[in-house]
Amino acid sequence: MNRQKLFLILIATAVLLASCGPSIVVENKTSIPVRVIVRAGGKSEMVLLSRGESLSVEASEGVYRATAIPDEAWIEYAKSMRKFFNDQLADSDKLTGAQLLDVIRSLKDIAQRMQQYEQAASSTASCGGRLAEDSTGLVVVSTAGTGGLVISCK
Amino acid sequence: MQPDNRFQKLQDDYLALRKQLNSNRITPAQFDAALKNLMVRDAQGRHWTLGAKDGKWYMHDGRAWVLANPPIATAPMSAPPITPPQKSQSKSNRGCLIGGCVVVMLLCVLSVGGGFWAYQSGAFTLNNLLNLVGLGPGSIEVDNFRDDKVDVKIAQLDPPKDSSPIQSSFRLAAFDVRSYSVAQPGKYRVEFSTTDKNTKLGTCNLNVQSGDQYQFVMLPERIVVNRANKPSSVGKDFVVETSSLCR
Repeated sequence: MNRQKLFLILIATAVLLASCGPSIVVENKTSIPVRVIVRAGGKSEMVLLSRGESLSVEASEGVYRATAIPDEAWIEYAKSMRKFFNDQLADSDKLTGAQLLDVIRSLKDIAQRMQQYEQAASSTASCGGRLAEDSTGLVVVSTAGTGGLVISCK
Repeated sequence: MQPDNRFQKLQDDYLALRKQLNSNRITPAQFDAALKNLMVRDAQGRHWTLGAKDGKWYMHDGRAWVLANPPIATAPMSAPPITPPQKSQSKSNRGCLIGGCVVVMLLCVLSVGGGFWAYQSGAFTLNNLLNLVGLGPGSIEVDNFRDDKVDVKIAQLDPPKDSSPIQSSFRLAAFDVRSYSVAQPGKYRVEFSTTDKNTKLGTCNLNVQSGDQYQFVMLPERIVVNRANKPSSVGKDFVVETSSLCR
């Protein structure tokens, strides 16, 4: 078998694996909008769920982790970043080296901030599970008696 | 001390050293060092010693050591001439070999165990492995930092012959973050538009290679683009409209 054929087979396998991947349905049973960060296969996604809403997130086979945070906290951070990027990149071809580094650092910070939320989440606001091939996970966000967010992975 | 005794004593000392070497009580280096002190001088002023490797008598003729019979009779060697340094070294080498094998086995066990743990915990994935050999996917992350919903369409521009181009689309609510895995590296067009009025916000033609991590941050006024695994050093490359990443 020549290298080209081997390459095509590997690509086809990868495409097949990607297209037939499992998914996770996320439900918000609270009375407030929530953000849920779903991390699976080394990638993460953050989705907004208004109250009572549910949606499906593509995932990959293996372990996954879901974290719920109040929408307000994320919005506040995102708006501050938006202002920073708007100011810095209004005249992008005149950026100094230091400004450029700030922009790159801030772009990286978005993913890092999501990680910080995950790490800071209480044990009840974060959960994990395992997805088999073509299976569907279920993540439910609800409100605890104390008013905090509770998340469960099934 | 009589000359006869000196030759005999040298031979006895030699055999004693050899015995210690054979039982690994001294190292080959210690044996060689001790042997240098085992030397006698005969009545004619010539120096005599025993060969380290063959245990035979050697005489220095003024220029070099030559094989010779000593001027007196000595008792025959009770032990056959041996080459202890080599033998001992061989044992030492064997010890090193065994030690090395144990270390390699330990490393293998740790690597396999660590790899299994990393795979189980999700820290290492099939994609990581494929990226190491240049066959892994790339990724496109879109951060919608606008106040409205946006639609993102991704289309492959250079599909392989006899196959249809890969196409995908997804919708992001305000301040959503979503990533898309590009399983097949190549050229892709990424189009951004508003969901409500279908207003075009921008287009970027990317050349996605294995392991590339593209990041788009959608702002009300512009779209920021970054290749996170290899950021540009030019400011205008961070804006879709002017970026060389989007040509």
